[in-house]
Amino acid sequence: MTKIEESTASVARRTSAKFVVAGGFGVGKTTFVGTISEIPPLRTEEHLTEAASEIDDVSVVKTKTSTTVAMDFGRINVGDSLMIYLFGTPGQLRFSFMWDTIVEGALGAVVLIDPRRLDESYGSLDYFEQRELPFVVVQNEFPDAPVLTQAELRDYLAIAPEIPVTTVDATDKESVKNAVTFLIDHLMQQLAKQGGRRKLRRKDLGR
Amino acid sequence: MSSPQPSEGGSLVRSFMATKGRTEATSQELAIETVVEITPQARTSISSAQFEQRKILELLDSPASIAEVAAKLKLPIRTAIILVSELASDGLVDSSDLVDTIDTDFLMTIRNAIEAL
Repeated sequence: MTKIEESTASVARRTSAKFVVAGGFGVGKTTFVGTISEIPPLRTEEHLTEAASEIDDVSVVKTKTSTTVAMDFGRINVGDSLMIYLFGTPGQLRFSFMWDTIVEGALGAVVLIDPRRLDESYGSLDYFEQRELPFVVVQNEFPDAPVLTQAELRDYLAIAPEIPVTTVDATDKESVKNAVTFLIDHLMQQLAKQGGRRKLRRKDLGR
Repeated sequence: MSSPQPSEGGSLVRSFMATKGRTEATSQELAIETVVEITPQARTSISSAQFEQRKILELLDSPASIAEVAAKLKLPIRTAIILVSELASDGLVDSSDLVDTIDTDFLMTIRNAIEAL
């Protein structure tokens, strides 16, 4: 049990929490995170050789190239005692161990959509539905791309009626703030259905 | 033997060298978002710490998450977790609590902070 009010003992006890920003390659995750982060966005990189071979099919084993899986993230301080992180998922869905590390214990997720490449986002939607992590679908408005209506987006991506859908300009701070509060509002509605409290899923820690 | 080459990740040592072959973290449970910070006693012993550990301790002069340690020192996440876990079990690093259960007040606190950005 870690409510921030209760965790500010003598030496301000810190806590942290995280959101996930998901979606396919080139959908604007890094921009989204960078626009709202209070620190310059950071990147971790994992270099995979053996690990990739184990879970990929034979055709990939043959080449045995080293693959870099990058994760971009940003931070927002809430007072002195709470740090909120936004983690962008690596584009390649098959490296799911990295996704699991990011998603475990997350409050919720934004799934970013590029209206020109809807298929890039199928994997993210499937993943969060399976993991039962609450998420919202957010269409990124690119200046040179058409904007799909909510009905079109729901139809094309088979988004369940209870999943909220909105749009964002990932380069605009107010717009990104609205997208994150849109997610938080969804989380609060979910909480209300669950008696006002929810335990975060964190089963694989320390693996 | 060939001459040393810098690793692709830009780290100065191979991951297994930095962790002295350890591949499992100690009992301390650290997630990528766990915030860690140098303890007061570590400030006095920082100069005697080994290279990788000293770099982490210097970085943790101000609180930062495991992900920030990994990103800034160009370490894989697993390596950062193992190294920081060891520093924590030696009493040189203090780790924050992870949020375990959320309620409406907690979410509203975050929401207000986002709106105020």
